[in-house]
Amino acid sequence: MIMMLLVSAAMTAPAMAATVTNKDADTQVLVVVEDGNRAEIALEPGSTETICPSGCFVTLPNGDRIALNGGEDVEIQGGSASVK
Amino acid sequence: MQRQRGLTGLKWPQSWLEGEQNRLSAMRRLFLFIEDGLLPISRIVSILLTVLLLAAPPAVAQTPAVPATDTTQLEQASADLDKASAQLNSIRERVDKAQDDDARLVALKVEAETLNRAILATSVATRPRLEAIKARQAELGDPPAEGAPPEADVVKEERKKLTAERNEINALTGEAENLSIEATKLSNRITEIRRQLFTDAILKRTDINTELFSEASGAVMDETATLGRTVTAWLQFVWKFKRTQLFGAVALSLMAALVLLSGSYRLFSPYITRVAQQEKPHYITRLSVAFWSTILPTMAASAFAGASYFFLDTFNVLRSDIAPLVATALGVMVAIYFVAQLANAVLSPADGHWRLIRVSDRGAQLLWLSIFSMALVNGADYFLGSISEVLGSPVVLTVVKSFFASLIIGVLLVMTAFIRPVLHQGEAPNAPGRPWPRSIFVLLILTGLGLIFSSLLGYVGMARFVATQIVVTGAIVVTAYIGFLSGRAVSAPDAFGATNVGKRLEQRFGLGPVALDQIGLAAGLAIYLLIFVCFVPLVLLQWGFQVADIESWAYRIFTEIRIGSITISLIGILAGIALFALGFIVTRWFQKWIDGNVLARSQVDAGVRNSVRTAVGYAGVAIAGLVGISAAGINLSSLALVAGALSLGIGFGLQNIVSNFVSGLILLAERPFKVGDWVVAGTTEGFVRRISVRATEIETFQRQTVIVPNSVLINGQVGNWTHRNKLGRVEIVLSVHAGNDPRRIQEVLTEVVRAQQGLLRNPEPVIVFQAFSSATLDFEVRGYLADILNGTAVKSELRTAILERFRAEEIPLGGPAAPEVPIKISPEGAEIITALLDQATEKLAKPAARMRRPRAEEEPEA
Repeated sequence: MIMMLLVSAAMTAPAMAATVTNKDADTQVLVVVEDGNRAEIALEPGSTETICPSGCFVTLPNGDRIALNGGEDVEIQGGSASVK
Repeated sequence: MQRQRGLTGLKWPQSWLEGEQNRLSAMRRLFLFIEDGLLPISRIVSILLTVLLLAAPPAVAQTPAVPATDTTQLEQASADLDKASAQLNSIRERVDKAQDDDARLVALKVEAETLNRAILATSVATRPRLEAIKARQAELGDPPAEGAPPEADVVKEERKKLTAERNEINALTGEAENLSIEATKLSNRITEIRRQLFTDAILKRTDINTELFSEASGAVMDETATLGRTVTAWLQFVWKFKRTQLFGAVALSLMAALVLLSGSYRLFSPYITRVAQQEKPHYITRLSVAFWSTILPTMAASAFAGASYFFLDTFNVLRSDIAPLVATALGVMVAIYFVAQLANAVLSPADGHWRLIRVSDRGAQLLWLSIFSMALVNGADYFLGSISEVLGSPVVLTVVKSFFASLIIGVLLVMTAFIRPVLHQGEAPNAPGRPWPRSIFVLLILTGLGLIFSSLLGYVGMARFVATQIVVTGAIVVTAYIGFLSGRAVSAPDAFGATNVGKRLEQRFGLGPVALDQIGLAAGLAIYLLIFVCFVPLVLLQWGFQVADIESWAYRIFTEIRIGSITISLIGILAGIALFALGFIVTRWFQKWIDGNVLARSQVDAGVRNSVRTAVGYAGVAIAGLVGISAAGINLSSLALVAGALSLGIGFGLQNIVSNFVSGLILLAERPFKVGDWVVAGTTEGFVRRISVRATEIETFQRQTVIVPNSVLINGQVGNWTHRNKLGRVEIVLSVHAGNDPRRIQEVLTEVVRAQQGLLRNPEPVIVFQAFSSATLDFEVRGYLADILNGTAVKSELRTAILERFRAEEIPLGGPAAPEVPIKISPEGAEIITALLDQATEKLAKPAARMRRPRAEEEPEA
């Protein structure tokens, strides 16, 4: 039981940062603004990245801009994002 | 300031009063009309409406702000961002102004970070609208291709509107993004400025030359004159107009300090007074006395200083130019008092037995003097510095004062290095001391010379900083260390019970030694916590950190500790634990309530009661656990994942445990036995004492507790003597001599058994004639008992009764004694044997007579 709790604690804690998954067939490029820095992140098809542990702004491939608190799961499909 | 606040505070009630007057006059008018009795209904209605409208002005005011549409949400966000932008600019301006005010900069940094979070929150709030627009656009589909029939105007219009709004949101988010970058940059810049400020203050170099001193001596004259004028003027004013307030403030603050001091003495008296009759106090006693006799009087002194300042300020005794002087003077006095008290506690110059470190009497006195002088010089430096600051004297003066202060402290350090205080183990305190160990000597000399040379070279700021650190940080660290040691002493096994507080607790609440020991442990931990909470911030403050810095660190430590991408929230974890504890207590309470109030009255079986109680307990703990886990910020959905991952492990390793667990649940539901039942499981026989989820405790008749896994009880055969009722049969086997009459025996037995207490009449007791042989007749008595648990006693009594009856009736249990055996012999043979016997008798008699003859004179014939 204790092991179970520990493992689950270790597994859930990283959920505080946002994750981005690319569900498209092409590589997508995101522009992430975090801690005052603008960084470009290339996402291979099907890959998942962990970004912004404490909130950030993301410019999506289709030009939409979204703000994330950290803790969201973002899926990119057709250049557009759905946030969960 | 306060007067202004009072005026604005008055404005609101005035407007409110006006409204109230309007309402009243309308009401009066209404009554007048009604008295006339001439009103048409329409007029009454219109008047009523006016009254209602007047009576409800807030509703009127609220009407324009009805349903907030999505556009207004965007407008709101846009307005928020504009406001944020303005705020950012204002922060930037203030940063430019407060380039050399460290405390102000910290506050501004906190403000900038808050603003940054607010900007992010504003943009996050627009996300749902963007999602909605996207969804609607997806519903509308792509615009018709060229050549295809054009779509309806409404659709076209909506499409256009949606696109415009989407662009607007993107633009807003872009704006927020830029603002956020700027805010972060500003915050980083503030950090940079603060670092620069610190370096400048420390490493600023002034040329030390005659010009500096001549300039300073001129300034000293001016300053002394100004100070004298200012203080005299203030004192005269206070004496004339504010005498009562001054004395009142001093009296009140003295009272506060005395209450604190006497209260703490009462509480901690064995810790802070050196008892004279104690010739050679133990090290622990010395430690505690040192710690508490430093801390408590210092706290009282701080309370006095703080209260004095507060009351003087509240009673308007202080003037704006005098206030900082008084504040610094009070602060410096408390600091000097603290250092002196600490040095006194550690060195105990007057009494060698209470000394914490092994130094000679003379050495202790000199060391105390040296430490006290350093504190005095440092305090004086600070106080004079604040005088110069208040009176606006030239910076040169401060530099020169600090120069001399550092120089003196450096010299004092060098002198300290030549004191010879060290004693060897076992030497009396009044023995002449030896010089310092080489390392300490070198350290003292180096620090002292370093201070002197850095002052002489012009690095006065650095020298002053180091000198302050040596005095104040050193004092704080030493106190903290002593406190730490005394905490360790209090929490040592059985140490707390021996203290006065422990003894009092023992008398008052009748606590046992174990409880006292646990309280001692808790007290020790509390002392550790106190030291950590009090002294770490103090040391940090000394090193130039600001209160806001420490606050934001503490906040961050409690809310989010980030290690890589893992974030841990202490508050969350603590809240989880607290919720779990609360759930646990509530469960126990509910369990007790349902058992004592509901189940006890509903007359259910004890087994059902136990099952319900146990099930409620497990369910409650499980719910409390789940609530605690989710409050601690652990996502419950991932538990499912973990359970899936562990199912393989359960399949192999935990199989037994799970099987026992499920068996335990079945036992609770099916109830093949309950607590208190007499069961036989395999080779184990005894009473069930406890049924828990994994195993069941059975106590044998020899009082051995056997823990039987539940799966054994479910899978194997379990005999229960007391399952539905306690009815049971006992058997007694007995045998009597074969010569008895079996019918008579049966009659006798039946009578005895009928008369036996405890045996049931229905089912009737039975006497069975089981077997007979040449020697015995075997019977078995079978009787039924209402409570099988009394079986042994009844059996024993029944046997006694049967035996007594058999003896009374002279019924032989065994056969009679062996009969005489007749022997046949002829008359000749008899004669021969008689002759032989006579001969043998004579032969034996002769030697006996011969032996008796010599003794005949002495011993008469018996």
